[in-house]
Amino acid sequence: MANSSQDADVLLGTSLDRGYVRVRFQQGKPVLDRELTLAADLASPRQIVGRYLGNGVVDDTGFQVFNLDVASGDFRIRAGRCLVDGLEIRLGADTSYQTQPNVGSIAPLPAGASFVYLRAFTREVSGTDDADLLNGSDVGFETARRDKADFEVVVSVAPITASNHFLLAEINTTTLTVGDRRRTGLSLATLRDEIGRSRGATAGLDLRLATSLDPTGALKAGCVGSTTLAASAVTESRVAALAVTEPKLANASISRRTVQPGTVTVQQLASTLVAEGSISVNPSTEAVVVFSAGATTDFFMARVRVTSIALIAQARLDWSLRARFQSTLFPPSSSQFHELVLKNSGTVICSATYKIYRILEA
Amino acid sequence: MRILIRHDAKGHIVSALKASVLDPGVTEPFGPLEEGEGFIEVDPTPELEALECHDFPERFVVDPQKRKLKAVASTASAPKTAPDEPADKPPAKRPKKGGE
Repeated sequence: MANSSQDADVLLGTSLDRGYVRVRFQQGKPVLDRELTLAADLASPRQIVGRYLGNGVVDDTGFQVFNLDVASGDFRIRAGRCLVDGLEIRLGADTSYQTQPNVGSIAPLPAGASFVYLRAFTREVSGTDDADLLNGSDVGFETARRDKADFEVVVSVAPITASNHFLLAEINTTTLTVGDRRRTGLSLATLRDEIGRSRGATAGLDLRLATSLDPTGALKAGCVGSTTLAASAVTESRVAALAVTEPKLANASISRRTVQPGTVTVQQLASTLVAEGSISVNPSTEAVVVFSAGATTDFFMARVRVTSIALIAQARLDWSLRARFQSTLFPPSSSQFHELVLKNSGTVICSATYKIYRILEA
Repeated sequence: MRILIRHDAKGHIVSALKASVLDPGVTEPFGPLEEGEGFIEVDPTPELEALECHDFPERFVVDPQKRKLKAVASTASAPKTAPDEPADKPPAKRPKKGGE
């Protein structure tokens, strides 16, 4: 610890709390070590940078975590620079979690998911650490010490939100994955370029966004047109139930391929119930129900259901649809009939119900 | 509902038809009839509507002159099934319901 009249960090904190921004020395007054230290600390950009720029790397590679090796409990860390808590951390060459410069906090990698942080701190350097501080070319002894920006990479299962911890990655020793979580491109130039690209041909990014979004971020009405939607972008799961009604269906849009088997019933056909009832048929006779008189090109569909028959008797009921045309010369006339014919070939009377639909051809 | 009865010259019921839907243009619902046959339409009273079609030949004959149904006496022999059966033939057994 440096031989100081007052702890430099405590004095800086107190001064900042009081709103001090500069030290003014006076003529004929002694200069105190704590005042010189405070003057340097107040002039340092660390507070402003840490508070208003935040943590991050300038490029895409600095302090990137890669090559997770679970067997050896290690992973690689790429060389680069990183700004953490106002301190610029420098790593000259690639290193690893196990072989990093400060190994005081390394531990076996947790099972499953965990976070990898870069913790920044300062370390006091004396003449013992750096002979240049002994001022060998003139006074020959140590006069002032230095604070050096230093770091360690730590692994934590729980997230850490302290400003001196910068999240580098999420690793998972079960799935053997590394998720890069660094904030990259931390420079005004990079930010400016990104905004420039984002605004496109408009004067400002806000104008470009305003063409499609309202102030709340919702899509403006009418901004998504048919050319905006990618081909096959709207799938069945994106269409709400009952959202597509008949006027939206194009003519001929429904083909045999798109109709599910078993979905077309009598109710879906252009049909009219033209005859319904029941009839008795005596043994060895034929019963007829005329259900249409007059010429027609329509189709007919019938259902006959036997409702009564003696189980002890031999029974047989045949039925068919029949068209009958007849004409006379005197008086001249012609007519056409459609009939349901039921033939009882058994030995007992039976009854049957019938239902006949007329189906339009077009 | 319309109830139409086809009968032979003696009034035996050849076929009974109960139609809930029938084309009004159809004037001959039973089609061409045999010699001596005819058909009548009766009022669809609740009692008649409740009957099965095969009940009509058992319970009624037609009076061709009056064009009305006439009940068959329960003790008397009456036409039951085939229209050409002799009137004194014992009545046929009543068919049971069921089957398709």
